[in-house]
Amino acid sequence: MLLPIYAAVILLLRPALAVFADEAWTVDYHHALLGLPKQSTTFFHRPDPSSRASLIYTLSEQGVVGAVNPRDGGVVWRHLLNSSRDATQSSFLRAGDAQDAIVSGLGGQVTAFSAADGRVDWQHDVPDALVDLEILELEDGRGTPGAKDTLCMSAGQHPTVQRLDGATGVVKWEHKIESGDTPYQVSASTTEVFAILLHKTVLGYIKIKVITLDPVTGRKTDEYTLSSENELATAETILAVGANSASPIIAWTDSAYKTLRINVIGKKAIVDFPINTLGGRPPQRVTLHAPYLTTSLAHFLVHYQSLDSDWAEVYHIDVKTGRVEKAYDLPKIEGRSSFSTSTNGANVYFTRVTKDQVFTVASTSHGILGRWNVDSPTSSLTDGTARPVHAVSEVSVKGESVSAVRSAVLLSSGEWLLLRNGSPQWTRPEILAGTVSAAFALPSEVSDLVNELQEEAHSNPVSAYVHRVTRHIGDIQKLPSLLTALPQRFVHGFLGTGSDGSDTFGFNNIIVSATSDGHLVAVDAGRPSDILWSSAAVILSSGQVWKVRVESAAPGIVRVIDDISPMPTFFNASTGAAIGDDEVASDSAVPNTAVEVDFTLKDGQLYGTTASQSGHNDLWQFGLQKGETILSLTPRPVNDPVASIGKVLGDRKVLYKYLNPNLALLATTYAGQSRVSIYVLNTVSGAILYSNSHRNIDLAAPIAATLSENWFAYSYTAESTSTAPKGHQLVVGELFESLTSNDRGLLDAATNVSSLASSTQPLTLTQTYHIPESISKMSVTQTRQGITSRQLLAVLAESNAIVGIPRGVIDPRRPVNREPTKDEQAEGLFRYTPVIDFDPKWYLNHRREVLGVKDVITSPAILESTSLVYAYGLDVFGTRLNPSFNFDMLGKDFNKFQMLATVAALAVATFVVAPLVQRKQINQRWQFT
Amino acid sequence: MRLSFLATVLTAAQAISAAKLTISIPPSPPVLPNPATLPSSTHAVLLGSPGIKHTAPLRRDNTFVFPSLAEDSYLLTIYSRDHAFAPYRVDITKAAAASAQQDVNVWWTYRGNEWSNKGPLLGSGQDDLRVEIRPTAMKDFYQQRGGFNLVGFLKSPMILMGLVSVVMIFGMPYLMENSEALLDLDPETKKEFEEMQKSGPTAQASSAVDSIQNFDLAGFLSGKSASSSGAATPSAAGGGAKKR
Repeated sequence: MLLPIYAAVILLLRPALAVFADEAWTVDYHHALLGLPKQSTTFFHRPDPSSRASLIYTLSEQGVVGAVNPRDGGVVWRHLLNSSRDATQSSFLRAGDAQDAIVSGLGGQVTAFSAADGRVDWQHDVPDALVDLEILELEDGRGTPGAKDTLCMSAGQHPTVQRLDGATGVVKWEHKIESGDTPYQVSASTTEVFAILLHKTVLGYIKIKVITLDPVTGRKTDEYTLSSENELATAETILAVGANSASPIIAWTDSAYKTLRINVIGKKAIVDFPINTLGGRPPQRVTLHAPYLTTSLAHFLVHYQSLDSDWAEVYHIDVKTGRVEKAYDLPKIEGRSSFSTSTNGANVYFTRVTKDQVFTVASTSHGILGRWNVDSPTSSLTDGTARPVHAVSEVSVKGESVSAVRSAVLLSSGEWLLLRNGSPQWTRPEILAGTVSAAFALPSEVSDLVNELQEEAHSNPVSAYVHRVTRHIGDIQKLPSLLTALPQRFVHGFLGTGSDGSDTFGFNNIIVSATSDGHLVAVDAGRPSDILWSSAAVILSSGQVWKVRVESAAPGIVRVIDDISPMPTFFNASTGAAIGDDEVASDSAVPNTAVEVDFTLKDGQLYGTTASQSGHNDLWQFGLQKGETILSLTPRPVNDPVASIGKVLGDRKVLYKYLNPNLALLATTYAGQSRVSIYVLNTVSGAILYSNSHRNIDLAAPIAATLSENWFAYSYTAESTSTAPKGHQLVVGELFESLTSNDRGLLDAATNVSSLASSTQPLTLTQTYHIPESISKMSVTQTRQGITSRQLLAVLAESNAIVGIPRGVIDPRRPVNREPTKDEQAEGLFRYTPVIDFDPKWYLNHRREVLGVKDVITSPAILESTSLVYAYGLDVFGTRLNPSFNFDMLGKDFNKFQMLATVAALAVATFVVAPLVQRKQINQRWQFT
Repeated sequence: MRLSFLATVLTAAQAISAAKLTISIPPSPPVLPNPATLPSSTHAVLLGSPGIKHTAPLRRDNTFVFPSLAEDSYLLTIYSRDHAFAPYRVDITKAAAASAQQDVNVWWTYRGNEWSNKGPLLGSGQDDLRVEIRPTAMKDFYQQRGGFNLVGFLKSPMILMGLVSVVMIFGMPYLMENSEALLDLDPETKKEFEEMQKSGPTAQASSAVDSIQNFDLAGFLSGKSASSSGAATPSAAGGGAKKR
């Protein structure tokens, strides 16, 4: 009997929630990002040694290891490595020559991946933080054929060097460094393994110490210290310790960049080269580029960067004698250029990318083998707004000349660009991977009209009329272009191909993101494939992270609040231009007559303060118990329109919602206890409206919370008890003025209520559900008027997904332990079940994998049915949601051909039938029976 | 040589102190005919006591390996982009009070039930256990539009009713004529039948409808009887037909 009703309810719910197959890849957009690639962990490599096709591998600053197809820039595979430790830690990515595996090292973990599909081969945990990782290229007959062994060096109390089997990851030998020196790097030649240590002298200088190890047994065979007198104050001026080259070297400079000192590892001699500034400014940065193959020529390039120009020198090493000599110079070029090394057999090639050209030279002579102009008028590289930061290149050689060069260049704007013979093939907006805060900005064209209309409404009739006439004259001038565009527009609208650029529905909002490295980046939701604008908003020192919040200030304007400038700064969302404080219209809709109460988290305490002439007065303080600390504070969104103050029940009675704009949800925990307390607060009076406490909570798992309208939701991971199950749980609560229908409780008679004067307590209903996985962040959809039902958006970090849970499923009024009555059925309530399984149709991202999402923001569109969603963190994902189905626009299911065919068929039928009917009518008159 | 031997001993010692669990995904048609097609983001998570969580990525040989697990009761979940897996319970317990060995048991478990409510045992072993876990279903992300379907359109009750009434309206007269011819009714019966139709409920209803439609207000007010207005009906009906 009830089954059909369930089925009907589910059928009613289904179409409103699911992602439709025909909208799935068009309405939503997704940038599968890797993060900013690092020079040392980015390279071209062939995943299948027998095939010539290569992929670009990188381990980014955000801790993502992945492979990118150089043809189209698509991600082949990627993994977010567990980066729970310090973010600034060093990371490594290595691939052995002609190997089908790549080895990554981050934190304390070494992982070997299958190069083609990203499956894991083996994992190895080093005892402490990893210092260096290398592939041992030598073949000594002991290594498993095919898989080359890995050398890893770890720091900590007992620094060690380990050799790991290339096929299984098992430790073959381990060498403990007992001398108390700081491990720095590990390197290998064809016959020996070198451990490079930094020895701190009494005077605070650093001396480089080299330990030679037997690659087979790991036993120490030799040890020496380089006489790097008093010039090494920090390890930062050590340029490189080449590994896996025919003749590995150590190179360093003094802190003033006057002399370059080079030692061929294994030889005790140090060769000095004075740094030639070529008549310009002294270099600010010196880097060394060398091939990573033992079979390559022992040549290397030293790249000097001064403030305004770049130059380079190429050196050759005589492998037998260990002699280093300078071969040739590469000329100084104004502006930034980047160098990269590529190999082909034994030959070594250096590719230089400047802002308008790409050159390739062989390491043996300075003759240019290939030169291409960067032909891209639109690229930020050529228009001078961005400069190349670093590049990796792959050359194809035909005979003596270089036939093609592919360079993956990271630009200072955070774009990763592939140049094939100078022409851009693709760009990846990797800058967005570092987004820390983002906000929707309403497009200003829409607001312009609103402003004009407002001007007419608020001025005297005569001037308003003049204004209106002039506006209409201005509009008439646009008519010819509108008319000429009309046929095309019809065709587009009819075929559903492409948009005509206009944004009547408000779908093309601009999203402004602030990244941790000080950039502001804007993306247009209507054309999400390219970046609208990008600018460096602040200059940060290295390692500094921008603590910033972006908010929508006014239509077309965003406000940026950071820890650097005391006052917020304003930016035009469509152009990125900074706007003065005075040009921003005050958006405080609240009249300043009432007493304003602010609430802030200060030193781990929650205060409510009032602003007065004498400064800030504490109005209330949340009394934390002993050992209680605040986990999170979630206020009700500022823009949270509610269409109805009550819920209409099945019998047409009303249950009144407790609607208070000043609500916040506070989550606290207790030191040393696995316990979480949840409070719903009135932020004006500081009163606790609802509280609950949960024990046996896994505090390492995320605790997400959200608050909207008159309901809240939070989730946690709980350990099993005798009564409770183990797993992830979601709690949903709803606040009502009273639980009796048609009754407003104590507020019945009042027209105005002050939170400070009255102490009305809402009645709260809650229900708890068991959910299949933990929710790392929650958000709620927003629509223009709040008429559309809401959806709870939950980020599932384990599934790399975002689900939209319909409000009806998590209604706390679902009847428990009984079937719903007729009235409840009419309301859409169905029986409570303790488990909510996330239906795959709820996945907003469907088959896309949205990695590393930290937050989801929502914004109303102009259409009431639609809420815009934008998720950021690592990946960027955006879509449009219609939680109550698109009731105010024609969806893709509306078949225009069918409609026209029906009209045509009816017209034909009318023409055919009309004479028949006429004849029949005449016959009726004249025929008598 | 001695060092490598020592390392082996060390790893062996580690293996004794902690149990190893290997989960393999066998080919399981029709849901997953070839496990090599699983994306590399597929991973397994063991959730232990608060704060303890182990993650194992999918390996080349379609397995998840948890190399060293301490004694605890774990919730095992496998996350994959395209396939759904059931939750499992993994218990690592000491085999005997004095023994260093550990028992590894894997059961089914059910969400929304107390933790002690275990399902069937999937596998059990000492120190090292390998179990096979199959996906339960493919994830279906997409809602198909109910496109235009002629059969479904014709099946809908509204259309059926409409079609029936159309058939009645157009088909009945022919049917009547044909049935007359077929049955060869004698003229008396036919007359009777026609009489009956005229005075039948439909005829009455139609005359009632006609009388309402052609309601003669002036006549009604001037006290004309219903029978006289009924007599006026044929002409009024004719007028109606003309309008049409």
